[in-house]
Amino acid sequence: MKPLSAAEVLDIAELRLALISLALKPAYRHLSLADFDHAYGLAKRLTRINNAKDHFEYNRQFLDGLFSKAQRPILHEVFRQLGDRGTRYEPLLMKLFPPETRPRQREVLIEIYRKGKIVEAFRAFRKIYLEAVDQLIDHLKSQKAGDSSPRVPRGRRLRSTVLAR
Amino acid sequence: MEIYKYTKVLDRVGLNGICLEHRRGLMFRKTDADNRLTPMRQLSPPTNANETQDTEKAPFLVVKRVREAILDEVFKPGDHLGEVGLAEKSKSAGRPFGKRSSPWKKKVPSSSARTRVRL
Repeated sequence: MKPLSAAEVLDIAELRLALISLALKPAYRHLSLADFDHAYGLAKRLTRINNAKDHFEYNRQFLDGLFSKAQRPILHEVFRQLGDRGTRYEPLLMKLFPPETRPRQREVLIEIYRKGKIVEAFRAFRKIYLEAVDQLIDHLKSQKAGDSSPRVPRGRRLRSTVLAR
Repeated sequence: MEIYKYTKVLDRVGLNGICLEHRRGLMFRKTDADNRLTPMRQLSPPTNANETQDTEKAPFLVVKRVREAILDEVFKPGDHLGEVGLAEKSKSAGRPFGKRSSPWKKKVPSSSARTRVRL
């Protein structure tokens, strides 16, 4: 399994945002009040969950609802693939953002989106989402810096031991 | 009698209705309600049978199990996931059956193979 990387997080985040922005407009006309209520309920639940598996499932449900209403199957499929790729980051996200400090980008999105303000809703969502992504990237970078302590490369170490003898 | 019916029907309806009316004539329906034009084969309502079948297939189950293992942190980022190990953990064959044993595959000798000709 590939290790976590800051570059990958950024790629996934940018692509997800692009896909969500493409799906929001066509989905709006097909969403009913009940759909909005359901999505808002899921968003609220997502901020309270402390289990990575449940978080993944509910998040998928939340976004599947949106993309299925957009009736853009290719967008939906690509988004699902990105979701699969992002699975590795879920446990870390749970640790990094406990329910008390978890960003509420989905709730904000639905609150504004249900009023028909699609652009504003996406902008608010993107702002909170990117802040969370920045935190995740910082965490990964600091972890990487901690892991890569100044070690002598293998070849050189060998050479130095040979010279010492 | 049937021919008579058929020609009568031809007179009455256009070409599009031939089959339907002819079929109706052979079925001997009694009531007027039954005699109304109906499509030859009514499309069955869309079901998600294929979807459920797909989700029950082995690759989907394996993907699901692997995903759950990742989310439960059984598999951690950077871990090596070998085909054999995964197959054992997920209790499935390592590769599709078709590739492992292909009884239907025609055996064609390669062009470089030597052939002995007995005279």
